[in-house]
Amino acid sequence: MSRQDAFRRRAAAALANPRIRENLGRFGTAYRTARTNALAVLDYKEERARLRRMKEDAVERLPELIEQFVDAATRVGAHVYRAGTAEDACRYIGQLAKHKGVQLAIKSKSMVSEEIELNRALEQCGITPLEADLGEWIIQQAHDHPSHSVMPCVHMSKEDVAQVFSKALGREVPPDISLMVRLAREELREKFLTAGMGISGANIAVAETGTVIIVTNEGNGRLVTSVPPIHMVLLGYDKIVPTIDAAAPHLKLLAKTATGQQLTVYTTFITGKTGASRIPRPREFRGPADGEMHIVLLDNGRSAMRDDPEFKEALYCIRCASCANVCPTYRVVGGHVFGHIYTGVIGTVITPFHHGWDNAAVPQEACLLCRACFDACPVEIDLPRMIVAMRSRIVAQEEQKKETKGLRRFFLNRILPNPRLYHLAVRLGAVMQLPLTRGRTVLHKLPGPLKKLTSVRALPAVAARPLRRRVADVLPTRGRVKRSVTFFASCLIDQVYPEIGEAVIKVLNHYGVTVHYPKAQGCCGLPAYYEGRQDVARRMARDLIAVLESSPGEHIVTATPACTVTLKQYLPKLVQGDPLLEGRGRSVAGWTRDFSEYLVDVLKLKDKTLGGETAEKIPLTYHDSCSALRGLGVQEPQRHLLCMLARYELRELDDVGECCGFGGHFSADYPDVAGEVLKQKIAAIERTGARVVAVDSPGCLLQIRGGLLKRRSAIEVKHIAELIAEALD
Amino acid sequence: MPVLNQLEERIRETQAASRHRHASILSRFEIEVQRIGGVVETAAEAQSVGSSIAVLATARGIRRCQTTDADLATALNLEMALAQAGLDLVTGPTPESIPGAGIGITRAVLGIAETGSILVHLDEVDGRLLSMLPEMHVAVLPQDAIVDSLEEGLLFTRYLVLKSQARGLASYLSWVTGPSRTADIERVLTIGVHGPKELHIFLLPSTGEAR
Repeated sequence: MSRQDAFRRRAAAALANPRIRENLGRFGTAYRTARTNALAVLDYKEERARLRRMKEDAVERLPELIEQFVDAATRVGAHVYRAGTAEDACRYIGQLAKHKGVQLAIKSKSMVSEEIELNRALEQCGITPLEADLGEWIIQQAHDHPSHSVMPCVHMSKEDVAQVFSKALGREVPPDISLMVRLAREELREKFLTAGMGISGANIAVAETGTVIIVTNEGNGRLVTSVPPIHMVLLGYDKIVPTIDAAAPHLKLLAKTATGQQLTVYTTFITGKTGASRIPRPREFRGPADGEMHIVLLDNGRSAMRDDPEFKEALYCIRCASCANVCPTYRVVGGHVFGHIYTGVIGTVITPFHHGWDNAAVPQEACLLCRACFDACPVEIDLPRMIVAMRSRIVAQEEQKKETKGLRRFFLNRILPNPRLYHLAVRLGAVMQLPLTRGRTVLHKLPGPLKKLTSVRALPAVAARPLRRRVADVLPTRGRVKRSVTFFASCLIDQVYPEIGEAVIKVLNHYGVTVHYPKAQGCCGLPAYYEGRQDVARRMARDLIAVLESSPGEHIVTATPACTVTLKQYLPKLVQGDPLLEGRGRSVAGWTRDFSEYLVDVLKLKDKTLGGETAEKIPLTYHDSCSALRGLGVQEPQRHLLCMLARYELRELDDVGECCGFGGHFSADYPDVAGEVLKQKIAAIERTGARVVAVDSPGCLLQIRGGLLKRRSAIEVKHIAELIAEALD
Repeated sequence: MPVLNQLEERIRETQAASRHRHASILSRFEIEVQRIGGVVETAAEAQSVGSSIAVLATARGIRRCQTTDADLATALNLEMALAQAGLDLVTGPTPESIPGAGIGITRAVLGIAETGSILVHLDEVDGRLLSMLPEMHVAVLPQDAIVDSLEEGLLFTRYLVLKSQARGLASYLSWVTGPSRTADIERVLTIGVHGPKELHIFLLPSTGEAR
């Protein structure tokens, strides 16, 4: 079974378990509210910029800070061991515990412990590791793995947890949360006293004083580090900051973004070992009489990450798990599928460095590139950029091993970059689909292996005549010419939804804009770029620059925000460093506007009433495309335009900003996951009571309309351009 | 230690700058502590805290209280107050009695208004356990030892750690922000997992002897 099949099987199993989705769904909704409330007390933008600067500075000075930390910690009697690898760290800890006669090691939560799989290593040395964090304890008793870095058993319901308790305690425990918490307290109290070693992680380490800062809510962290005579700290060395007060932005944002608290209950500053407790211990206690502190300073791929300009910023992560909490894929399949040992988006990005490319290659495909994680990250880590960077390295590795799938590779390398071949291929598709569509514009069911593509959404047929055959190269306005634009149609509008293109042209013409439509244009290159084929995307960018700059339009307008993002952001990046293209790429980016943005910001179309009123306004909702909302940061112009439509009344979605699950080829590769994300979007749409959904992206239109058609819903989905064009009739 | 001197200077400056806002800082602290499930009570004098603790213990059916040291017990008039209520008192961190203590009584050296936290600085491990193991943690804090922001709190924490560090001493400081809690099961907030289920802070008059 290939890695991909194994992954798909895991995803399918997770999807078949509605409880995971229910639990994660409930968590996701509550999380958003708590987070928003907690962040309301500060200026989030300013505070995250401050944290970003702090982490950048600390990682930049890391070698110097490490030396300083080791010196300071040693001065107060801590033993620091620098471990290069996971094996190295495990060996040291196992041998030390054995040497000190330890039999039971009690642990507070540590992701590094998961990273190096310490529990297994300790067991092999005959030492019993026991998790004291409630979530981790439940996971350990269930012989499971954490599915979330902050809430290890977020995928379990209280009934699932009660079963784990019943088995662990050898008696029937009802699913009563406060009772279970009390039982855990009683069960673990004795163990703190019995353990010869306490193992903790560290959220922050301080160079100046050799201090480790640990944040916990339950209080197990303080017990683990105070009751047993030996305190063992697992410290990933990316956690070092210069001074205690430098940690302010970190502490300020961690709890707010992780759990929606202002601050965790216990923030503990431990500098050296302050002696051993003389509290009476049970007879089973095994360990030294005197207090000791050991710090394992772990590299395990971190220095490689630091040396890698594309992935260096992953080291700024403070492990708040926001990126998982807002991730549509994560919320559908959970961390056991999306991630390896480190879960969620950041987990997937750092996996190659800690656990190898083999374990990262497939899970990263489950990223929709919706950018929700980038917005949510309190350290401004550009996770979507790193996912694309991963893809490009994986492609390079596969090319080397000649593993790439033939047909896809052929399409991306040969067909897509060649507009003539590409259009020919799509036209061929338009003919080949005839036995399936029999003239209809919607495909409700595809046969055979393609069946899955239409399991939760109907698909549109390829248009019988593409836009390029329907309209001329120059489409002059009939009134006084005020402006001119070059229209970049996009594949979807040209080949599938030419009516949207016609609406765009009609609206622009109406407002005195002459539209130039250079037919030599092809695809913008985004599919190649997102699949990590930068070489192909670069070739396409070069051709596209030539086509667009030779057209006389003052602006370049698209009605497909994903293409707008490509033209404005990726295209200049792709030609960066090429003396012949760099400046021209920047010009193309500078001229490009998304349709709504162009109408409102350039044509100053504001505060008008469009179209005749109806006796009763039709409720309409607006779905933000990920590309416009987070890619371009454009969300006001669309709402301006919609509010001008006399027939409609705008009702906002309560999930504002959630992806619809389209994600380009994602919804074709992972139709089940995309389908679940779509279901949640449709539920939100239905909650508004809207009869029309407005979108600014043909991709979202395809996805949402397909989903509604499949449900035989009467709700219509329309592009903003179509709604305005209708109002002008 | 030029760093220590500089820090001392900076702390003095921020204290001087916020002195006129003392009342608002105090009320912010009280609001924040309550928001996270702690209780703040202003004591008219340190000597009256003993009888307040006796009331708390009696109401919960707690038989034994323990303090980190004898001076604290004296300052709070605990001996007499608890004896009158028929309760046991252990003064000092006698390890044998810690597991049976229902209320652990400690000092706090600082309050942080922004987060409703108290800074507990107990390097002596068994004394420290009194803020961790009992069902209830009672901390006494001089009311002029409250700073406004998390940043000021960290500055003070850094100062204390450096001061120990300068003498080659290990240290253990905790910011305690409300009672122990978990939300690991279904994200339902539950109080009192491993740490105290209740946190009760007594604010002492500015010249409190317990300081």
